[in-house]
Amino acid sequence: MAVGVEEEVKSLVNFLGLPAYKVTTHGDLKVPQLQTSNGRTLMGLATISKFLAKSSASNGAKLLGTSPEEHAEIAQWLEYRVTVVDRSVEKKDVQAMLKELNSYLLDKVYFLGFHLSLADLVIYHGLHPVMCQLNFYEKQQYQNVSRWFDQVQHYPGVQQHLPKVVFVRNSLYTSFDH
Amino acid sequence: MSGILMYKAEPYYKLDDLNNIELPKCMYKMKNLHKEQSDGPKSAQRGSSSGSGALEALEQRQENILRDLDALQTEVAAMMQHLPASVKQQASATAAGATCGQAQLEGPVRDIVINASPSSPPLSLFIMYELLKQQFRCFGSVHVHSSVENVPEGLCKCLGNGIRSDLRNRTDFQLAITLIWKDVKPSPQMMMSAAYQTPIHGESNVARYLGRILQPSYDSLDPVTATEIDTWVDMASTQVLLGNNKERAASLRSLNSRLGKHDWLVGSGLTLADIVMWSALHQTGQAAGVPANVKRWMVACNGQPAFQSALKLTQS
Amino acid sequence: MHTSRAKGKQCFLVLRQQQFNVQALVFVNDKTVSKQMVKFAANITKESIIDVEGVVQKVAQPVESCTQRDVELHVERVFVVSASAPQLPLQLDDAARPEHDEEDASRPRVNQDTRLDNRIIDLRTTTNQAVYRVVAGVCDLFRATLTGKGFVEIHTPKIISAASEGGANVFTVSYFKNNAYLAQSPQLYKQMAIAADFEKVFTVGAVFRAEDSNTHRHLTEFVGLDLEMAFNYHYHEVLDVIGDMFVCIFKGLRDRYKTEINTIQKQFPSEPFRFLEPSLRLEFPEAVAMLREAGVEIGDEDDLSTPDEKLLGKLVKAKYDTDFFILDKFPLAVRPFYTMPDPNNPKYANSYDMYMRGEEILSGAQRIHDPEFLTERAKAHEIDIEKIKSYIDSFRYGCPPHGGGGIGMERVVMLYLGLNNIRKTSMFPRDPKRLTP
Repeated sequence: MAVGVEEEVKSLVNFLGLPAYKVTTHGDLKVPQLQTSNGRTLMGLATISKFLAKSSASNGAKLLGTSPEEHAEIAQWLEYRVTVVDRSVEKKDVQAMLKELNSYLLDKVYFLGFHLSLADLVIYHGLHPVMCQLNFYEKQQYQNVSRWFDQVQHYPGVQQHLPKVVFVRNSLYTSFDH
Repeated sequence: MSGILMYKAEPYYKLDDLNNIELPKCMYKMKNLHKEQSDGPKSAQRGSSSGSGALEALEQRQENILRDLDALQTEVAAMMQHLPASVKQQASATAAGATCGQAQLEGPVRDIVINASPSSPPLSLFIMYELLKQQFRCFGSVHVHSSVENVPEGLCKCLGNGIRSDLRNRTDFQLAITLIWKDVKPSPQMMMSAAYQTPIHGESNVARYLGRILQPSYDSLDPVTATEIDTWVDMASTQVLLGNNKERAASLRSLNSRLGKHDWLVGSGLTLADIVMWSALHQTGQAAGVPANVKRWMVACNGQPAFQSALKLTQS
Repeated sequence: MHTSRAKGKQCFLVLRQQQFNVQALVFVNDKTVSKQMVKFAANITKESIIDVEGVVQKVAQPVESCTQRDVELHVERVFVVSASAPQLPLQLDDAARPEHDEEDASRPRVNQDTRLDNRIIDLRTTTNQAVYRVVAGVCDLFRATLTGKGFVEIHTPKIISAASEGGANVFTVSYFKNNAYLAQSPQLYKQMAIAADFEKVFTVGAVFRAEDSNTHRHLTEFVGLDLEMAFNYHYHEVLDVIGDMFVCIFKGLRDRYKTEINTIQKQFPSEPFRFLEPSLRLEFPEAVAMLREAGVEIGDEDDLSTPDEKLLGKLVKAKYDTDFFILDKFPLAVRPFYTMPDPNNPKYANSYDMYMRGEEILSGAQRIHDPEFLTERAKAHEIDIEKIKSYIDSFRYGCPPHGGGGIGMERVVMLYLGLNNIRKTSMFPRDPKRLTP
């Protein structure tokens, strides 16, 4: 689950253009911990992500949304990442999650609509291992998730150290397949 | 910066001087093409000599076309965002390799698939193929798709016999054109990579792609020439191939006026513009009844070696 | 007789003959039909063979449920030639029902094992009648095309003394006081025929593979359509012939078996089969490049795995719009020892595979015809020369360069029609779990 959560936090730090922080993981569940410059320790991916975004005056503010509704939506998706995405290990859970996300993303470019937000970044990192395992048939089945994922991974500064997930631009499978 | 100064280096750039940079004094000062659109038609109009009424109509048409061109260019720029790095590198490599002798192409043979309807063969393809053969190790093969029947013999052999007569491997070549006769609408349709692109339609777009593989790429020339070529290619596509009778007649008038004082549509030699326009006129059956200047230009085209195989197709 | 339904003074029959059926009417009239006759007709058991005499009449409304929609038969005399037992092990209507029809989703279908256990009845469905006519058509077109190109049909023995291609998957039979084996392929004998100066040969016969695979595309016994050909200058002469043969088979099926294919499509809908003429031919490095573009990691000399082949099939279909293609110049390392290497590039071989809908249907090559070179290649593959001595000896007395390949008839039809299981195209299939009927 959270094998790469330290790298993920570092990647977010880089994306926001912040100076490096000390990041460790804690316990069996590998909950991330961040040491702030004034000695406090922050725990939890959602907390750390929001803190980092707030710390970056120029880049981060836009990612947090501008209205209370947007703040709430972002909080919702950060929670979704930890409670649903990270805990979906069984095949049927993953498929249920992808189906849900696929219908959600039908009419949105990004999670909040038309602008990149913290929700996109966090879900991108959470879904990356899942997307790497999908075959092309599944990528076509979850077409909206694939489209969103390809969009986000090409956003400047997002992909960093992660391998690029390949998507094919044509429909390879028809209704008769599988 | 605090502390004792160890050493001081002269600043590399004198940033405050940027605004005072001397521009070289050149022969002609070109108006910035991107600043004002109204400059466009004037610079492209250097050759026209008809009366003021036709001039205004021509200007208007040119303006419309240039506006469409800009829209297209922004679309292409947006599409470029999605291209993987290697393809972008290829595009710049071919432009950079313009001065080298032997043209370079990455990877095993690059196979360009073109699906075309046998009832309207894209003649410019055959001309471009001849030009490509001069610069690359290139071969062509023709197939008939199972969804069509009774394709005439001449069309089945129009790109030569593939490599069978050579008995060499496909991968010994750099470029392959695979022409498939198939009922596609709109015709023709081009595919290079199933992973990276969706099909590209339109004869003019196929010609542009092939024109960019050729070196020098037709749009790596100076922007004005490239735009002029694009203008004529667009006219061939929208107003001749797909236009109604009025538009076709208007195009013939434009052609006639340009070719009154010039031998070729753009500059002083054969360009993509001539190739696509020639093809469009033949495909719409107008080759016979063209005005005098256009006729003279067509005869000049027919004499070019690259046009021979396409010419044979018009006579069958 | 397919069905009979009585309604008062009338009885509606549906009469079926192979792919077609027609409605017939028995109704009481003064001259020819009595009430007892109507009752008799209503009581004829399903599937009985009957003789019917009557008058063909045009109908006002088309008969939707029959293939003959514009006429019906008004019966005057009916005889039962051979009565059927009243309890049928499976209902033909269920067996002919499309698998994924949403309207009829709740109605029963017959599963494969039941069908195969009662094959005689299952084969009577209009769909199966059409399928096996298409199978016959493939055989017919194979023979006709090759005979037209000057090939001679030969028949090779199936009981052989040594396992031909590797010892693993052969059936053993007791042969008087010894053991013998059932031939895995006619490879050895095809080549001997070439060495015997027959130049171009083909053979249609049984092939036995003792593989314990229970998949949708493996049988233990199937019909192999094999060909072998001597060539003059380049092995591509062989490839041209094989490619052309496939095009002729596909065109023949497309043009002459339309009715049968339509019948089959009603129960098993699928994408129609698309192909190019001449057949599309790609080379192995191109396939590797296409797979790499799609993110697959594969070395230059790696063999293609089954998922790779399926993905390649999809990519080729998206680019060229063809369900059939030839892949030439396989890496030498992954081909059998008797494959001729590419003289210009030692890493590759004059060897090819052919695919339909992304599944391999033919694996072939130019064969080594020089005994010394063959011995050398066998040693490089660490094969015991003693075991293949007679094979090598067949080339000692002059043998022209040759190549060929073989296809499985059932698999070709299965893939052409887009069916999902090879048992649908084998009349009485054999697999590790089935020996009857």
